[in-house]
Amino acid sequence: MNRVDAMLESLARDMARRVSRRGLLGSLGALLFGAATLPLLPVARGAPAAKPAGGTPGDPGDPKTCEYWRHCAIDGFLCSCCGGSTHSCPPGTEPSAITWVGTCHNPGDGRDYIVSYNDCCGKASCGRCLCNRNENDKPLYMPFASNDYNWCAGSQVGISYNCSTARIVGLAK
Amino acid sequence: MLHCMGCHVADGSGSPGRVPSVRDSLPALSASAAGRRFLVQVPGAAQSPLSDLELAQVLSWMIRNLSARPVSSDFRDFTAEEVARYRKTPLVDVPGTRAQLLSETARHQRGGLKPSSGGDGHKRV
Amino acid sequence: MGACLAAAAALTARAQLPAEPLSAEQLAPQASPHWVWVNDINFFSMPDGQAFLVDGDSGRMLGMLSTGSSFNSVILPKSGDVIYSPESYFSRGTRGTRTDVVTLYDTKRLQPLGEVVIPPKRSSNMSMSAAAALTDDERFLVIYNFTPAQSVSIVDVRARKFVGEIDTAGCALVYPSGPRTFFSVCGDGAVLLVTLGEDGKLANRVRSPALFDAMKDPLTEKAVRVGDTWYFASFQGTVYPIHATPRGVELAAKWPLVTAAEQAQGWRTGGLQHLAVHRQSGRLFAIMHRGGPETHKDPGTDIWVYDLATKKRVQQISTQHKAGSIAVSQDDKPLLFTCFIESNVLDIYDAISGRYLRSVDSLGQTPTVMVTR
Repeated sequence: MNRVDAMLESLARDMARRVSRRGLLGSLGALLFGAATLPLLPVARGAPAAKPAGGTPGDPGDPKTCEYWRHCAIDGFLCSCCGGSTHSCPPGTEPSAITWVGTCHNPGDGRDYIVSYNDCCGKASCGRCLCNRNENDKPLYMPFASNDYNWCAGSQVGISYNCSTARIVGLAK
Repeated sequence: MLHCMGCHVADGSGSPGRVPSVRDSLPALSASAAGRRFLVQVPGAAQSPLSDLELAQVLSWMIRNLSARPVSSDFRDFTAEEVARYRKTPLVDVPGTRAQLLSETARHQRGGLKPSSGGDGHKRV
Repeated sequence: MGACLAAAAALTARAQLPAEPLSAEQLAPQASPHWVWVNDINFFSMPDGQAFLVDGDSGRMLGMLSTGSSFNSVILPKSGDVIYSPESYFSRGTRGTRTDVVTLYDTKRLQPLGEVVIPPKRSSNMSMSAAAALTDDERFLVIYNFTPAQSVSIVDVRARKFVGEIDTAGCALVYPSGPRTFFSVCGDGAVLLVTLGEDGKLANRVRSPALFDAMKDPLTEKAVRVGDTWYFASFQGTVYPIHATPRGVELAAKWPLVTAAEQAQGWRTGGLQHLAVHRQSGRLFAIMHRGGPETHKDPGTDIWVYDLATKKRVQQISTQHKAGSIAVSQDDKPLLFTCFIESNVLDIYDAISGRYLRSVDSLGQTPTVMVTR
């Protein structure tokens, strides 16, 4: 009887550990909501990394990956993995106009672009493709540079956060 | 663009009930010395990472390009020195000052300008 | 077969187990200082915020609270007779009408006693202890709002009513600093000191001069308090002791968490709740890791302990698992608690010796900040 108990207990513990633990993408400890990046520090113009796979010559890489060039200041779930894209929200979610903007270097054409990380709101977390960085992040008392705010607060549908886009709004000067 | 459009949106129209539109208030506020000071002191401007010269240039550009009405012909661009002076005295009561300035300009103007409600109905001190 | 029959015979020889009534547990009237609340924002399912109560001595989970959308943290008054929890709810879960409340929970039954409706503007952010706090007289709960306009909502918790909102434009969060005084930290490196009147309405509001350089070396929001002093740590590892009373705010002498050599090796403090203090012994605990400049939220497997009087490091504790959050109990045999948002295991240590004691697993999904009494 005791041995069976012990075995069942051990199996239950094991399952609890496996089922409830979350495997998260990204190596950093901060789980964040939308955009980030204090657009203050100079954009890195060093030699681009080895040519990323996919995309077009002018817009290389895969928007479903954290390494995609536009995601230089993103924090949250990538809308490209959630039924949306870099500039569209998944069906039934609402874009939040209020957000962060960052500056990212496009290795495809060598230009720096202003990228706006509008969140998509009104449904709970998409849960896929979590991508987060704290580059140029500042604390909550510097909201323009803080990635710890849920920027769905600025949407008209409220704070339910689904995913983040990475939309080009222009060239950085 | 970079430091302001995040909240005020690319054309300055803001987000109803959350972020005030600057398009309506810029012409009114730029017309008086107290209004000019407010435009620099508001935390989004004063605490932005822009230098005094950059902030002077951005504010001047916004007034000339984002205002819903043509700006007065005697409007003079901000200078870096002016911005630096205003930034030295941070504003504590932002909504109160804004409301007071906008109602004063409304009184002075023919036809009046209704202060755009950047708030939500809840009275804030 | 024989063994089974013998066992069966042995079983029937024992008295039959009695039928049991069904009931709900109640917590002991006296909370132990070794109890800890582990708050969980539940990032992958944010309408379902949670807080777990664990007994640090036995490692047992004692109970939990379900606390709504974008949950931050429970707040425990010293009186110990109630638990406050600022919460947000949508009428249809993730959409519909938003209602923000401060729920008051019974400490023995862990059930709501009542609630106070507040403006639906409570800041939705990665959990921080400073998102809401009681004034020192424990009459008023101050809650930070972000819409993105910045303000605080004031709740009279004794009368159980919303008093009003106070604008704090340019400044964020709540650090109590007197019977009815608190300060917020501003984006230009100053702090905004706010004093409430007897009725909880604004009595005084004044900005200090800049205390730190917000652009070059900002302070993290995760300060801890001993008496009148709030200890902030900067991104680059300098401790800024901010002495704050209703009369004013003063920065005391700064001191480094790391030597020049350690800094050159990349040692930094980081995490979601990366500082803790044990007030009785005057010791500051900091989660440390080695990393580049923008790693102020990275977890670590080292906790360095400093004597606040001498400003020297007195101990280094190696942790069982990565730690992103730490908390210390405030009794004379204190426990040190650690957790990490990417894991739902709570680790418990002797806070004086640093000895690892036990772990508690399966606590929520994405535990954030912890609260001890």
